[in-house]
Amino acid sequence: MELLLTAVTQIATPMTLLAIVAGTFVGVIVGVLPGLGSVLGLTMVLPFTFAMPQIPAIALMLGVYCGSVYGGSITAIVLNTPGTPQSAATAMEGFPMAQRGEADLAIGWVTAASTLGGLFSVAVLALAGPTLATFSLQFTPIEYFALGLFAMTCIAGVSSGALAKGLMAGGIGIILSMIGADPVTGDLRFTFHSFQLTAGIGLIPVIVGLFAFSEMFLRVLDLDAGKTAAKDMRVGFRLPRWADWRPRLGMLLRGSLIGSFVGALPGTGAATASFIAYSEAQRTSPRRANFGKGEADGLVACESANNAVTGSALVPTLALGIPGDPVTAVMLGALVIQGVAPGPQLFVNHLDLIYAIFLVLVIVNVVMFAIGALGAPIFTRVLRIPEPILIGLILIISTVGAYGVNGNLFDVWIAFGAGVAGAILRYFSYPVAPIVIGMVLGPTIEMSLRQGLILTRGDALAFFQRPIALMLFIITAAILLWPLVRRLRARERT
Amino acid sequence: MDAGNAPGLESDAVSPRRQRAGRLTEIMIVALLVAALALFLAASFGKTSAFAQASSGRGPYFFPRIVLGGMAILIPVLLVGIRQRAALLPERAPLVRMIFVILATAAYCAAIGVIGFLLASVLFGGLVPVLLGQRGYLMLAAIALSYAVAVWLLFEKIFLIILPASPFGLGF
Amino acid sequence: MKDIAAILRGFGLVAVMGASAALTAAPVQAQGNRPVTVVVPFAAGGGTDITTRAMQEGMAKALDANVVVKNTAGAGGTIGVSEVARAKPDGTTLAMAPVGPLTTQPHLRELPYDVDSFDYICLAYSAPTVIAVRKDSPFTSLGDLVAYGKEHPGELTFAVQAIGSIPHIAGLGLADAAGIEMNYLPVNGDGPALKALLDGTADLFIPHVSFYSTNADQLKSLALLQADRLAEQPDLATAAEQGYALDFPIWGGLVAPAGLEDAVKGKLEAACKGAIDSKPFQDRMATLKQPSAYLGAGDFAAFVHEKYETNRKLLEKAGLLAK
Repeated sequence: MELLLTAVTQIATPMTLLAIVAGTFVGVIVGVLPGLGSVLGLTMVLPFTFAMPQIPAIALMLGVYCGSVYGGSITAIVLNTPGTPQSAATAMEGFPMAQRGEADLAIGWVTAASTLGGLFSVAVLALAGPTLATFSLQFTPIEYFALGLFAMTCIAGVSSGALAKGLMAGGIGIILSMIGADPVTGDLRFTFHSFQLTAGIGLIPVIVGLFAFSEMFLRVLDLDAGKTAAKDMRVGFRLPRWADWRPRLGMLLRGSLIGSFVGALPGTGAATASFIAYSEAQRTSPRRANFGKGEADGLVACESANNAVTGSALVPTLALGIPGDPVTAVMLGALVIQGVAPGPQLFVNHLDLIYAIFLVLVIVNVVMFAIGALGAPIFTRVLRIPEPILIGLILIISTVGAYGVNGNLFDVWIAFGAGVAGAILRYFSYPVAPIVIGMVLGPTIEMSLRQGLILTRGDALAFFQRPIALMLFIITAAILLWPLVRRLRARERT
Repeated sequence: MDAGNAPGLESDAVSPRRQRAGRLTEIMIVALLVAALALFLAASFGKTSAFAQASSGRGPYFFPRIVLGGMAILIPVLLVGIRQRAALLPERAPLVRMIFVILATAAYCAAIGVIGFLLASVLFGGLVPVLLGQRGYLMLAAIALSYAVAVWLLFEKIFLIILPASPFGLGF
Repeated sequence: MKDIAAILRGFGLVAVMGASAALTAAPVQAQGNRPVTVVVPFAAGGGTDITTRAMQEGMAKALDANVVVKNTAGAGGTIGVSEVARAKPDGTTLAMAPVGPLTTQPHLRELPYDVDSFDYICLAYSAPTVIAVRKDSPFTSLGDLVAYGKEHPGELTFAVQAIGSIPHIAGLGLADAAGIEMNYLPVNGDGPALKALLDGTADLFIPHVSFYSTNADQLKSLALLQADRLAEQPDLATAAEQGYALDFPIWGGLVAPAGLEDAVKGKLEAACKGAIDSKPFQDRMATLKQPSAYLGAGDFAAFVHEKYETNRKLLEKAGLLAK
């Protein structure tokens, strides 16, 4: 209790509070801009943290981190151009809702779900941090392989009605992620004698192309089609009613749990969590027929999941010194230079610091809600800009976003190529979200499979002798076979 | 994800010619996929390093071949799907308009490297609305100019992401 | 006219964004000369990146210009370094080039640059590596490890952060010197290597001493891979004391595209020295437990060329050479 009070006094300084607000604001902005994401936001504020005392420095970083994960979903809703990989699933429900003229409500759902998911994971970090860290060490490459396969089943969930095309898109994603240096042996694969390709194809430029560029190209096609007129687009911020919330509390809890669990495993991340939560919601929701048409269930599930990752991703980062992804790697780098040594001892000897982090995270999530509520009227107003003008402006900001990731013109061409390909594929009803899933999960699955084979000396059967992995394999098989079983049973009945 | 709002899927009575054209385009997409699969599969028989051969985790092409194989199995399924239902091509006027915008975007990407981000963006930001039939040129020019400058300032001065500059030594 | 009002409101958004971001970004702005971009060829947050960013402020002051750190990661650092090799040699584009892309990668594959594509400005950091095992590992010395390795050939699993990297070569060097066989498990960097150790899939890995010290909670050092003990951490026993002359430092420094004017080069060298000697930089390195190191332009160039040759021989011996 005394430690908690110390933490409170540490936080209740003008500098810390300012750092939280400024950090969250910057985070939301970089999240909103297509292409720029958490990593860029964090590196932007990194130099300032050097000059700051420990707590405000941490507050600034956490603000940027949580804000950027949330911000991406706003662009996903308003323009169908997810600013970050983790909000790709959000676009699938949020954009149709916005097209109905209810962008204000969609942002309301997303903001509330994000805040609640974020707060949930703070609780997880506070109550179960070290335990969860120990549990995450149960996951060796073999378990990661099983988890990767399980997560791949999301492709079925996001390719409603076009399974073969969705699987094909997933394959394209995996193959794209294989281009460049093989992470296991260092051999160059599929580079076709291009030096630029030895670095591989970046996920962010592909996402910017597949969603932002192709969306703008496709909009040109139906400029004259009668849609909700710009003046009928509701702007502002509207929270869903309690009556709408009540049936979705289960979704919220499940999304938060999935996000907290996936976040605690180093090497996965918010994008994986949001896809798993989305397809899980789609499998179990009583309103699953509405998925893809602006169903709030999907929004609640994936937004609570991707923001629940923020708190729990700090578990392995702080308790083990293992950052799970590039985002937490930057934060860990900044913490270390602040003199924070990660490891189990941190939770024993520096509890005041840990408590301060919890409190900062709580405030960040509240501030994030406020920024979302205040900012929504401005963001949704973009919908009232005449389309011919908007298309040009979005293409410009997307191009510069693709450039900004690595400061590389090659990435701009990748985004353009992905944009043209995406427009064609989407026109012919190939879902493009599986390409993102493939690119995110492909490297994990391959790396863990081959690492597993190295560890078992090439014995594939050993993969089925570990309980967690075996359980995941069984769940995966069950999910794949379930539609078949259902169809057979339906046939028996008739 | 776009099955619902894909513009091509309409079941109203349409001329068989338009149906054929749509079907043909879809077949061409599948053909392109087949060609890409073949290309990648061929590339997977390249030379591997001594280290790769010594490693017990299988070579660098072990996993890609599994994925490529899986994709190959999907090809016939896709073809059957096209037989059952194919999308219609868009009308000529919007299609031409879209191709113009795509070409303009390609020119824009190329121009960034030549005349710098700021100049290219002003031109592109002004050109696209005109291509799409928006009138009021003075207003459009003002929007293009102010927007490009705003984005440039945001990146160059605040995010400290240095954007490609023009060769004229103006500093942008 | 409604449209126009809507557009103007849209611009209000950009303006608000700009203004508030400007507030937070103001302190880095040192106006004056043209901005200098330092390319870090690895992702943000790693050792090279943090060191470069720690130098940023000091260099900006000395040069009276904005210093921008740009992460261009990929292909073992060769993408970022080759971008700098191709840049105009006017002193506004530099790379913080580490040992790998400069002296090992060119031997592993065809690259659009080599050791002569650069003008060398300064060595900015150099830290030895250590052989690390889990804190609760039964091994307490290099001798224990080698004895076990000899009895159980191929059973020790060695986590490799990147193929052809210094830790990898160091591991091969250890196996060669001690006459043991190990199972090599490639992972993606220091963090995943630590994970592999903690979850029991790997037995040892070789991080640089700063990474080891930060995680000393969970790790144990068997041997410091340099000739003498460190002044900062004198309790770390060296490999040489235990009978194996292994010396594998990880270092990096500023390089510019070849063809720099002497005056510009001199200015950059002075700025680098100024940044490294500055108190904030030294304090940060002390926090990171990273020993301080510096070489001027001439010495650094000679140093890189020498390492280029030694590492070629090591890679040849390990059978990893491409050409």
